[in-house]
Amino acid sequence: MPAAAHALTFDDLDRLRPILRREARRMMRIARLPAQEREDVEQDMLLDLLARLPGFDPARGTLEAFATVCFRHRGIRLAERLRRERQRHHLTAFDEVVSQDRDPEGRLTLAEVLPEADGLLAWWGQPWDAAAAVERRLDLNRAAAALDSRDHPLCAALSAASAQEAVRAGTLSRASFYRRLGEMRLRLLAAGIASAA
Amino acid sequence: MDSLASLPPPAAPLTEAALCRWLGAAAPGDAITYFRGALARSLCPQLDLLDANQRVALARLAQRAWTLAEAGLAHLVQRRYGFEDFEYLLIARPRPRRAVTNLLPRILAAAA
Repeated sequence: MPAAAHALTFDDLDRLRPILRREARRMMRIARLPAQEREDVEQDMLLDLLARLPGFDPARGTLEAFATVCFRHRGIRLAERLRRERQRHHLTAFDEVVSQDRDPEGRLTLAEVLPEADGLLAWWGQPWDAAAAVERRLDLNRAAAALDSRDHPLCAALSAASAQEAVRAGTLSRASFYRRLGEMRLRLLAAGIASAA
Repeated sequence: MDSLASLPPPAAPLTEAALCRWLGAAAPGDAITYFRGALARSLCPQLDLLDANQRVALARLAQRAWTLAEAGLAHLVQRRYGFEDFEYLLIARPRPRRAVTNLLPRILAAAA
């Protein structure tokens, strides 16, 4: 136990200020905080030091060493708290790119790497089969690769409406629409996806 | 002389859909004959070797075989048997592992 509580003087604060700034910067770098948060972080660290100052024993070390340890531990706890908060309020989008591939076509989005077990179906307690989901995803990718890029808007339209509605809503004539549809069926057959055709 | 009942039924003519379905299920190296004869002569309307419907169907089939070959899914080969007697073969090629990457997200984005 310390012999007597140590009171901070202005001289002590001047000596601790560079340490405080250094540790705050370190914590902000770890937690990827913006620069405008620095003063709040410094205040938080300083308050923590003041609360722990009764535990400081000058016989065991200098005030700078004690303050460094206190600032660093507080910084770690702050960064951890921030990480948990970010996990809770994860402000990311499904189309956010998560793999830094040089080729834009090869980049993966969050929606593509998100496992089915973390999907909404599992979240809401709906039944899901991981193997079936993977097979479905592979089939869909294979089917997408088999189709002409001109047919992608057509597929998108058909996923939301029936053929008659898509003809009425689309820009293609009826004959062109059904010709493209026939072409898509033949391409899917040739790709070995007879069930989709 | 054989009676009509004992003769094997004539094979149904190959269609575009049947050709595509066969290719979809074929292993690399499998071959199918999609025409026997002289294709260019048979397709010529002036020679009138086939009736109009048959000619159109054959033209579509030949064009489909060409399209499949251009897409890299098959080889087109001819085997000569005699004067103006060729066998037109379509041979399945090994499929690319992944022809195009990440097309599905784009389709889904278009659907949204």
